[in-house]
Amino acid sequence: MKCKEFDAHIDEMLSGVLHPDASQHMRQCERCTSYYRARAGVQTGLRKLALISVEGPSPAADRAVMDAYRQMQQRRIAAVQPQLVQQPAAKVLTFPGRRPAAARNSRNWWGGASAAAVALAVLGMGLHLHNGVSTVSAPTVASAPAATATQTVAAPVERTVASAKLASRPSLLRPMQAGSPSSASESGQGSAAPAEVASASLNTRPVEVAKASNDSASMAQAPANASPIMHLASAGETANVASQNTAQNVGQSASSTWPGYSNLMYCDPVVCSGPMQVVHIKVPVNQVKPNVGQSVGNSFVNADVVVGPDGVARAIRVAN
Amino acid sequence: MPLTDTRSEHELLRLAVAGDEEAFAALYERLKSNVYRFALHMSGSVTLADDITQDAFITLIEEGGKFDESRGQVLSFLLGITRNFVRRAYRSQARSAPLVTENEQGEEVELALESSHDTIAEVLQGETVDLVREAVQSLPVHYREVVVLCDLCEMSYAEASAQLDCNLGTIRSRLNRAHALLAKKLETRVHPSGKQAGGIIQGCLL
Repeated sequence: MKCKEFDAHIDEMLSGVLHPDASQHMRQCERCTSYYRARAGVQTGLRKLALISVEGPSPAADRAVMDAYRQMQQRRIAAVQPQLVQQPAAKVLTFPGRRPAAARNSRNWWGGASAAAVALAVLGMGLHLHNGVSTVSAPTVASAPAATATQTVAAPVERTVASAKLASRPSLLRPMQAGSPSSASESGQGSAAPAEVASASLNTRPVEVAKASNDSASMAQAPANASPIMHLASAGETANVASQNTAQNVGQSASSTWPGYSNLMYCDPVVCSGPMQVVHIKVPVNQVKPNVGQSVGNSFVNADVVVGPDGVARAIRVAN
Repeated sequence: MPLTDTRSEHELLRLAVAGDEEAFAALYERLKSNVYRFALHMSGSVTLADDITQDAFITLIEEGGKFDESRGQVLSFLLGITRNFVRRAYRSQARSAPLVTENEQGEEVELALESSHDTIAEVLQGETVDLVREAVQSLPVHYREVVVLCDLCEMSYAEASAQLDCNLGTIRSRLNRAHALLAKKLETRVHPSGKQAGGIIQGCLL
C-alpha cells in the first residue's frame, strides 16, 4: 500500500474499520503513522468540542429576541391598521344612491356631497349672473313646498348652498342615467315635485364633447354607456359648434369652451383641463327663463352642468 | 413553553408569522441551541453569536412566508439564514481587517471573526478542545461550515448537503480536506518546530 491509498482508507480506519494492509503500511511509514495520529486527535477534539454543552444564547439575548418580535408585530399592526381604515377615494359627484348604508355614511360620501353642494352653489351663482336675473332659486328639495323656491329669493346664495346640501342626501335623490326616459324634460310635477340632482352615467369611457352633437338633447339622449368624463374642446371646434347652438341653450356664448354649454367661469386650457363630469339637474323653468313667468307654473327643465375635478361647475346647458 | 408541545416546527412558524407570540417562544426554545451553536462555532464570538441568533430568528419571522415545507425543515431554513448572517458579519469585519495574518510560527492563518476576550475560549475549557477550536476558527469558511455542521452540529452529510446546497460528494471531500487541514494545524501547534509532522503530513496528502 502506498501513502495515497492509505489516505483513502484513513476515514474508515478512524471510524473503527480495520484494514490489515493499512495497518501494515503504518508500521512501515512513519509519515502516515503521524498523519493518522493527527487525524485521530482532530476527531477526538471535534467530538469533545461537540459534546461540550453550549447553553445557548444568554438570557439577555433571549429577552432581546422576544422584545424584537413584539416590536415587529406592533409595527406590522401599525402598518396594517391605516390600510384597513383607508378607503379608496370616491369619485367626485358620484351619488351613491345604491350603496350600502355603511358606505353612504362614510367620510368619503360626505366629502362628495360637500363637493356637490359647492358645485351647485356655483351653478346657482352662474345662472344668476349669466341671465341677469335678480334672483335665481336653487334646485329645491323634493319634499319642500312650492313656497320654498320663492323663499330662496331673499338670500339666493346662502339658500342655494343649503338646498344643495339637503339635496345631496341620498334619501332625497334618485340617480338618473343619461339617455334614460327620466332624464328627459319633466314638467308639471307640482309643488311637491322633487328637484332631482343626479350624476351622469358612471361609465368611464371618455367622450370628447367637441365631437359629439351639440344638440341640446344629445347629452340627455346619449347612450347609457356614454361617459360623463369630458375634455376641453379645441378652439376651432368650439367656435364651429358654438355657432350652431340652438336658441334653447340659454345664455350660450360664442366663447363657450364646451360646445353647447355656457361657461360659468373663466376657462382656459389650464383652469378647465382634466376630466370633467356632467351632472344632470332640474331647474325651475321660471328661473331659467324669467320671461315665461307664471305661465309655466312650477315646471322644470333639465340642465347639464359640467363639473371639474375640484367640484366647481365650469359650464351649463339647458337641455330643453 | 412546555416541552410537551407537539406542534410541528412548521406549524409553530406559521403561527409565529401570524403574530402568535407563544408559538414564536416555543419555536425559539426549540431551535435556539442549534442556531446559537452554529453561530458560535462559526464566529468564535459569544457576543456575535447572540446577535446573529437574534437577527436570524427575527428574519425567520419576516421571511417565514417564503418557507416551503416540501423543500426542507424549518431548522435548515433557519440555519441558512444564520449562515448568511455569519458571512455578512465576516465580510463586514474583513473590510477593516486582513483576512489572513501570521501566527507565532510565521505561517499565514485566516483570522477568526473576533479574537477578543469574549471568545469561545472562555466558554469552552480544556487545552485540547481549545486547540481544536482555534484550528476550526482558522479554517476557510467553506471548510469551516462543513466541520461545524457535520462535526459540531452533528448533521448528517445529506442534511449538510441540503443546507449548503451542494452535492454529497462535495461535502465528503470538503470534510476530508478540512480534517486534513485541522490535523496539519494541530500538528504544527503541538510540535512548533514542525520538522517531522508538518512535512510528513504534507507529503502524505500531496
